[in-house]
Amino acid sequence: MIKKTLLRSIPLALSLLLPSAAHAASGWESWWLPKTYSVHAPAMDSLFVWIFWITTITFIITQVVLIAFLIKYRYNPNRKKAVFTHGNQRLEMAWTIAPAIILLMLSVASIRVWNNYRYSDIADSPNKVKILVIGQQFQWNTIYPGPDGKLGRYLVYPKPTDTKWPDPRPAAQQKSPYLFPEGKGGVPGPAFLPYEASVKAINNFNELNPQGKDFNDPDGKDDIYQGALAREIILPANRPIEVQLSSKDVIHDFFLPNFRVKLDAVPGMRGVLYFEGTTTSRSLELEPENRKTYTVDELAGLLEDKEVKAMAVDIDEKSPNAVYDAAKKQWRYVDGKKGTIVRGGSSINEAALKKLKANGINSVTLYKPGFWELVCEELCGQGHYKMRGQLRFVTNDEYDALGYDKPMAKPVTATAEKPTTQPSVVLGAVK
Amino acid sequence: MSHTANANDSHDHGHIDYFGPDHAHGHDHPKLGFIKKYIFSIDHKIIGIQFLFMGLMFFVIGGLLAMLIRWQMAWPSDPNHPVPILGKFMGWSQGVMPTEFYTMVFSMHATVMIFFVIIPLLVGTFGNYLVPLKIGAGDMAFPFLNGLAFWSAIPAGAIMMTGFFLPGNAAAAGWTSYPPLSAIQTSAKWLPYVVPVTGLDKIGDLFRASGYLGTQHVQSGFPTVSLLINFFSWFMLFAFVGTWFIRFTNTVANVITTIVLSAVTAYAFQYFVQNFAFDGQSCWFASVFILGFSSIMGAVNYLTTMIKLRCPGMTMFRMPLSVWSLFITSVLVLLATPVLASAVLMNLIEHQTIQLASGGVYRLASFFTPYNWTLSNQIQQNAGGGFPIMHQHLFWFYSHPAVYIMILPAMGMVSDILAVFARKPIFGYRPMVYAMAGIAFFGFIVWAHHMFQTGMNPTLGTTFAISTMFIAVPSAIKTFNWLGTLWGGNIRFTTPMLNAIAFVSMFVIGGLSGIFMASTAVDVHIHDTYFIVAHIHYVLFGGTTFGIFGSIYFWYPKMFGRMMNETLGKIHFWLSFICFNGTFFAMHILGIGGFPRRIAGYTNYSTFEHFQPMNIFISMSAFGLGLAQIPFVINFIGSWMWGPKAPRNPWLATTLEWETESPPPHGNFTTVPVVHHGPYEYSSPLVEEDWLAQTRYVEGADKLVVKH
Repeated sequence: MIKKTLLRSIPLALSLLLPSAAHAASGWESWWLPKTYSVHAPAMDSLFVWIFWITTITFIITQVVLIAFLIKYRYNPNRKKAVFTHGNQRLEMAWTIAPAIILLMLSVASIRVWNNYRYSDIADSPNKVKILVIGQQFQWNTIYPGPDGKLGRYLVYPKPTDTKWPDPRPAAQQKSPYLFPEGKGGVPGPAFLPYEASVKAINNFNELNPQGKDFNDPDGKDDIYQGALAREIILPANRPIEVQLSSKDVIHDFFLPNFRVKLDAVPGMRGVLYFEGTTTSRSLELEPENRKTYTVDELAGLLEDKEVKAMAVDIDEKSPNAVYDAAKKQWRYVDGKKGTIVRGGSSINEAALKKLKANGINSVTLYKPGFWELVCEELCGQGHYKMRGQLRFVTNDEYDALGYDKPMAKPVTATAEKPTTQPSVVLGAVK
Repeated sequence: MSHTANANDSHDHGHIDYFGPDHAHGHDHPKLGFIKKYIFSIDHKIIGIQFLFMGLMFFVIGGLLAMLIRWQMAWPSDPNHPVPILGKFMGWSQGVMPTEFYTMVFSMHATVMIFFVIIPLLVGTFGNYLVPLKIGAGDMAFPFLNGLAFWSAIPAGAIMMTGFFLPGNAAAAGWTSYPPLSAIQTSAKWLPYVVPVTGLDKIGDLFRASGYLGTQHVQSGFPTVSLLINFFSWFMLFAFVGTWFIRFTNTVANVITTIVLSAVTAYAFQYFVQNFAFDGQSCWFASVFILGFSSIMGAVNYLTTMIKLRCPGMTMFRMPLSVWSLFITSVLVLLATPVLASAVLMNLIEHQTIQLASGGVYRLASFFTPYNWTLSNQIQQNAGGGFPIMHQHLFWFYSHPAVYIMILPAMGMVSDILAVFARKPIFGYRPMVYAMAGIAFFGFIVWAHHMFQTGMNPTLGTTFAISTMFIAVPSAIKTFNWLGTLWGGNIRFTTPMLNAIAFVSMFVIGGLSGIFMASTAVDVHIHDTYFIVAHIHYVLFGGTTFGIFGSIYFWYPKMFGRMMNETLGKIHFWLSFICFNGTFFAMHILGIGGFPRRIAGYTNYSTFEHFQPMNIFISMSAFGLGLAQIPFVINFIGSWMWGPKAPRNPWLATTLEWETESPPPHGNFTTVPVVHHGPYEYSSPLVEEDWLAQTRYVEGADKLVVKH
């Protein structure tokens, strides 16, 4: 009776689950750690793989032993009694010491990788670039130090107890007193106001200056601030990066799955982490697996395809009718009257396809835009899932041209060695 | 001392007085009324069963919340898959769950499951039911305190559930309630006064706190239903106290005084609660704070009972492992819970604002929110500079030991079940005790492994990583000793045994996945991903919940005097086991892919969108897991009604609870049991049967140790 019912119920459960299991298994090749693009990641991954195999082997051994015992020692009416034993001290010592040794070795290995990540040599590198990332519900604010390479002071909000506070407005506007008619710079602080009035004034300040920037700090004069969520964080590849983290409201978490980088952005704290990217977005876009050439007719049928929609048009000097727009630094297709059909980097649409066909351009190369995602991993409220950011890596020269940070120091000798992935060591010697 | 088979004969030979010389009880005890016997009972068995019903009721709530989580994760905010039933009931647009609701759902799922299911079921139910029976005591050392522990858990549950009915909905900051997120008030403390419309509203108005702010008449946001629930739960608590403390000679006077006094006190308390628990999160803090009292009262009681009330011959090292596990758990509860209580009290104070008639709003204190904390560029009215990480230290100082509070009793009970059905002594009894003590000790020095990525000093991370690695050693000892117990056994696959074996097997997975997190460097990638979700569910569902199921099947005959149905039990087990693994094993894969936990939608991430089929599979398994509990419910209720009568000792087990009737009478034992040897003498060569009851004297049984 029991067996019959069981034999019936288990296949029933499996038959309900298996179709969706098969569906889930269709993407099995992506069931592993996300691909890495940072210098410190391989060490972490190999530690992961070590632990994975140690635990997998332990798992298999214990389960096999368990099942073997269950089968071998299942109830047998002929066996009147089980083996009478209260234990075996030697055996127990063995299975105490063996895991202890394995775990000790794992701890030691783990400490080295951890220290390389958190106490990175990058901290001393003269060529590192800095960014300040300020989390807020529900977006990331990125601040670049500008050509002087120094970040100004941020998150400096007046307190209700302040006797003086900095003028919240950019320098150019400081001439027309707005908040207080007394003047610019060190205006009387909220401490002199009734409490409600000071709260109102502070709220005014926060709206005028959401990042709490100290506009009187000379280091912050040339800082570049990008607030919008849609804007990518741009960073140089093969150059050490220092990320300073803080938050305006609740705890967020700065997680880059492809770089094995994670740290909480805690309000009232300044977290620092270091990493170094190994690949530029452009080289990712140039990888054959991320590009595909379509004929225009093919594309017409694929306009609603999710993958194609996310792709961008690739145009270079070899493309017919291509013109370089020096101002916007991009290539574009033009028609006979030099009117733009489609710009490089933009996505394809129906109107563009028609124009392409009219101008006899029959095939277009599309690429998957090369970016990496920034995820918030700490619950930060109902919009937690919206805190998606993007990272784009450019070459050092491109980054220097942007002026987001101080330019990379050129090697002293003319016969420069090949750039190393560990500049701190080499440059430390030069200094 | 008589052997079990003869125990019936010794039934009338006398009784022991466990309540002190002037408290006559037993057969000549004046009959207790229904209320004192079954509702406001101070009998540990009834209290244990009350905790069981409370836990199972909340298990249903927590389980339904889990189904909602899985619906959202399978089809995040997809109008093609509107939430069934609830979507229409709540009037959501297109039946799609709002993300703030989802955030609330998973926060409350974890809260309910941890604070109101696992801890009451393990410590409350089995701690209460088994400890006196297994050590041969008549009752707890402090029976009244024991009842108080149960009845003070009821207002805690009521306040927690109140959150669902409040304007801003229940707590939505995760079960960890990290400030500053948890410090955000989700609804105003006072709402404009609404003139009652229906009769029910008018009743509610009698209980509702209200007053004047300036010229405005304001009231608390509690709807009538939660006012009544709160009043009733407080009423029951004070009526319990009154029942045992108001002792006029006239019964009618007793009843009337009790009702009047408890109604007045309950009214005052529920009125007072409305003043500080005004939104979901403050309800959460208040509820956990009150529940802390319940836990501490229970722990004091268990410890005293185990130290002072053991029957003759029951030395500490003759106690069954389930009792040992509850002993160690009680030490953990006693040392850790006050820290949690202080943390949630600080949070609760921080959550409070005073609104002056002039309109100014002030926070009472700021322990965990930084100086000039802003939200949407608006300053939050703070008193001073707090530190958000401080809460995490305090919280995890409780909650990491709490993880062991939630697994150790299950380990102990599973050890008992394994020995009974393998018909073998526990392999290495003393090492098992030391391993549990080791886990408890390490449990106090590993808390910051939850905080590796918070930005605390990285060297501190290393310290905690090493201690966390080493907590795996006692866990490994326990696992190997369980395997050793099965070796050479004569294993009967009853439902309790299947659940106990599942515990061992699943605990191995949960333990091994913990090693990934213990390593600071690997934790960088998997912290706060679904890997953590998989790990905690392998420990708390695969481990503890299977342990609880096994224990319910095992001790049900003792508790209710009826046998449970084996067929339904096995269907329940196998369906649960298959669906459980389908649900949670796949979550490891999500976690390795970096899939963030507590996220309401993932389809906008190119890194995670390809995990949707996997999530659908997980959800299907989870729904199966939910449905798999139906045979259990049928079995539980049906066996109670129609199950065959249970004999004293249906499993032929050796420990003391099987020496008495099923269910045991008031006072548990009709004669004082005397213990002669350890608890796991199965297949002893000294007797013919394959079990040797603890009370049965056989020459040399206490010295017999056969080694292999």
